[in-house]
Amino acid sequence: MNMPPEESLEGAPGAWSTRFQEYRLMWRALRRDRLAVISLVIILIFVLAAIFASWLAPYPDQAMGKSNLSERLSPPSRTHLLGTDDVGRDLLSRILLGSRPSLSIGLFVVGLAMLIGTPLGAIAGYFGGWIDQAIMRITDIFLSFPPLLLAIAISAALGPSLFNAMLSITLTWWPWYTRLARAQAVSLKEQPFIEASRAIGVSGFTIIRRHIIPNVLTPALVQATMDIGSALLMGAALSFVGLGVQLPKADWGNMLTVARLYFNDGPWFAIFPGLAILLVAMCFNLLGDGVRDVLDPQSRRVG
Amino acid sequence: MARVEYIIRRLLLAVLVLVGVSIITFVIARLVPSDPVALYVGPRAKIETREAARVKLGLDRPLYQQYLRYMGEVFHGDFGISVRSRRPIIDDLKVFLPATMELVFVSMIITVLIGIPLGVVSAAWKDSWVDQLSRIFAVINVSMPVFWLALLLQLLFVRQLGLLPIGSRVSREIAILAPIDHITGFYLVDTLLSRNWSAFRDVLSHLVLPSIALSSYAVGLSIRMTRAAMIEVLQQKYITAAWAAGLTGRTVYFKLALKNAIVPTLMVLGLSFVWQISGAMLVEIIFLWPGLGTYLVNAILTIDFPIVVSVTLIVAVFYVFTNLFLDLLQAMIDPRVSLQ
Amino acid sequence: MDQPLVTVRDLRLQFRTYAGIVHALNGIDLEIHEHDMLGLVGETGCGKSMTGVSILGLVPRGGEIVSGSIVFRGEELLGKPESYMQTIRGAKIAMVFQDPSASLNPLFTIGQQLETVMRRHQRADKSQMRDRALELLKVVELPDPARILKTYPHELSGGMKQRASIAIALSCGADLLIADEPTTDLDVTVQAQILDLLRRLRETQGVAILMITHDLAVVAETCQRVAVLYAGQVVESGPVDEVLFEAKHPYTRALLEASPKRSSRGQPLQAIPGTVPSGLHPLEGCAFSPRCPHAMEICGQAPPRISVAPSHTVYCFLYADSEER
Repeated sequence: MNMPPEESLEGAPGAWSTRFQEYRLMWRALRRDRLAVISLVIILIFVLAAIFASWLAPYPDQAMGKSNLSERLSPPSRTHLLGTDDVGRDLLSRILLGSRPSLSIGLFVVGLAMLIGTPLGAIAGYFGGWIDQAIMRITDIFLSFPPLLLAIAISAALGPSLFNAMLSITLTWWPWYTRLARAQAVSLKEQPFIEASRAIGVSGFTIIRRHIIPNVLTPALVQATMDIGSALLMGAALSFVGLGVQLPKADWGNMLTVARLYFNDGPWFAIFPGLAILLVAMCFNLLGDGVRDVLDPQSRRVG
Repeated sequence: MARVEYIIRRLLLAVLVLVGVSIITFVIARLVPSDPVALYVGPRAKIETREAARVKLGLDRPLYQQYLRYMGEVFHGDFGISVRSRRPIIDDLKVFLPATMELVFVSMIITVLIGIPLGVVSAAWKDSWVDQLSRIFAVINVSMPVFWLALLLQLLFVRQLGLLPIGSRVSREIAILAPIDHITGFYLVDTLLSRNWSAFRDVLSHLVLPSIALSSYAVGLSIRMTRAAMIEVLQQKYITAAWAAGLTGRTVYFKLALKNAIVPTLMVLGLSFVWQISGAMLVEIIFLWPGLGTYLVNAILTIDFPIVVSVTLIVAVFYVFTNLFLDLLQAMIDPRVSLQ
Repeated sequence: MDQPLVTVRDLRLQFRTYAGIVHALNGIDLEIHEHDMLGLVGETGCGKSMTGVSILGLVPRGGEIVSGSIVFRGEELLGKPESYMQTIRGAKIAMVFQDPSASLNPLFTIGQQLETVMRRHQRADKSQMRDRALELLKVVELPDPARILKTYPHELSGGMKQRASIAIALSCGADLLIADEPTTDLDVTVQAQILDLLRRLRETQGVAILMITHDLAVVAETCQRVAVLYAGQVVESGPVDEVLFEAKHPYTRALLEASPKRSSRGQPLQAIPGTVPSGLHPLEGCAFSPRCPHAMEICGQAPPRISVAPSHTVYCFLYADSEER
């Protein structure tokens, strides 16, 4: 997947346009993986549901937090398709609205981690020397913390909120992208076309921007797709222990915190939010598998 | 000789990392906005009492001195005192650490016994129904929030079927009628050592659900990564050469391919182990398991940060040592490693 | 003539791919006799490697031998169960691969790899095996065999690795050694040494060698007989001197013309116009006809097998009348 620019003169189309062409081919190959396509469709449905939650929810005010004590802990019925929670709020509406924080965490964390980690790794790998050592040591230290624990600790220190949860999870995630980018940069550095660019006087940062980053992007994207599910799970875990979105705002994790106390009387309250998490995470994982199978030439089957 | 060099370099790196970890932990703990002194002396203490408390807790000194003092104490086994309970943290750790480790060990056993063989079989019979089923199983495990699985297991086995206990490490009857001798803190071991069979059965029944819940993610991960590693190895030319030399399936899969795949497999196991230490926190909450996780989460909610610092430090140290161990193991198995 | 060691008749191999069915082998005929040194030569993608792995029954995933026969010492190999093939591989028919860095297991020493293979096919105790291992390493002319036993592949040079691979292949007294591009990845000087070694091994060990290569020079230097492959078919086969100096088939001629020679110094190289047909759409009749300067209408049918001399056969309509019976 490491391809030199179409024309090796600086200023010519370069690695980025080659990348876009590749991605079009990848997309066509991905379309053949039925499982990945189904997953993508489901994810898109969830994303749309998240965006239009306020309109789709049958009981939008309950989704926002208004209680309905007369119907507390009612089982699934025609008025409440998924039942109600401990203060009578419609579960379906809450789950729809709860998709927002969950999906935001997943996408935001991975996006930011990639944005921070990839250039850092590229710089470390390309320039080498003490820059490399310094960046990699910091990376090692961050990687030495159990991710969930670090996220919990930082979240607790910063104060419970959705934003702080996103921030703390991102802080545990960026090192992986740095490592990935660095490894790629190190192997690319030796390639003739990079040497050629250097020979005609292109600056280091320009080389990184034009040649290294596009080539790093592919494995980074594969990793990212697979990571969204895990980031989402971690976000749910943080909410579950009370460090993410706070009640009465709806979030799949914090719904389970309460559901746990009532599972004897209202098991549906515990089942459905978790099922939502499972479904979305699974789709992201399957999509990630599909993307990896398509982008990694080794796994492309002969027949 | 290159290997010895590598080992030394790796150890030095581990030391550096540990220092970095302790500093970061300390810094994070200090970010907590609330005032530990107020918690310590209560809201109505006099100025003098407060000042005395500040000095006692060492909070009047500059940050780096506080850090050094803390690290000095840690090396002497003194993790400080809980702001809430005034008890030495080390005493709490002696009780809670084995509880969590026992749970994690049982989970690891499940992971190794189920995850790795399934991964190998999946790769060997790639695309067969066995492979498809185990891949679906793996993906579900990896996508499931562990605390939700714990809840579901409770729903099914406790509420519906009434087969297993809802939480804790032992039931009250056993605690009263056949109390367990605290030898190691690992109840399975302790009950065996003191031949307390009824307690042993009881402890085991309490371990079943939490360890299944805790192991699920790791099982899924192991299946996926062992499968991937094996598939990659099986495509290598040296495996084709092995087939060409007439070696049998048993030799090729389990003697050759597995060794070549063992390094990524060990990495997975290491990842699983450390993941399970974190995951234990979530599982412990659901099952009321008296371990580090419950200890930590409570400390966070009551802003008892000596505890937060101590637990984070301990777990991070475990993590660092596990990674170190894995790297050294890899260096021993793969003769090419020291060249990197 | 005594019975050949291996007889391949009308071997057809297909692969199922996303793009369709690829016809890798379209009716290969070969004969390998004891102590033979047969060269199998052709361009990339002509099916020579596939022929080699087919003989061993190691066709990659997705591939299927749809018809033909492979007979070894009177036994038909196609259709035999895997357990039977595992007794043939390594012990009767062995293989050496192109890139010795890839075909030697990086996590085991040379000695360990030798031992694993020997233990599989022979009954011997540890010291007997060690002696045999040392002997083998000497036979392949590796210096300091005792030390080599304890080294890992990555500690050896390319040439030494290939010698070690040959030693492993011959460790159980195989009758046929299939060498798939054994020198392609090596330096030129090392190449010559390895080819020399193979020639000598044929005499001293009494092993027949199937030399698969794209390099005509290698064939000219080492083999006594040669078969030329094009698009999954044998187009010409016979003694090396005859085929190379009195090439009959237009493709063989073109191939020889295209090779740089001292005599053609200063002149442009003669390329063969057109491209190799894709395995997805095999042609009826002669696969070379679209590029052949002598193509006739009748070439649309499957070319006949003509004997132009004792043991020299061509598959071409040009010689349909000059058949010697």
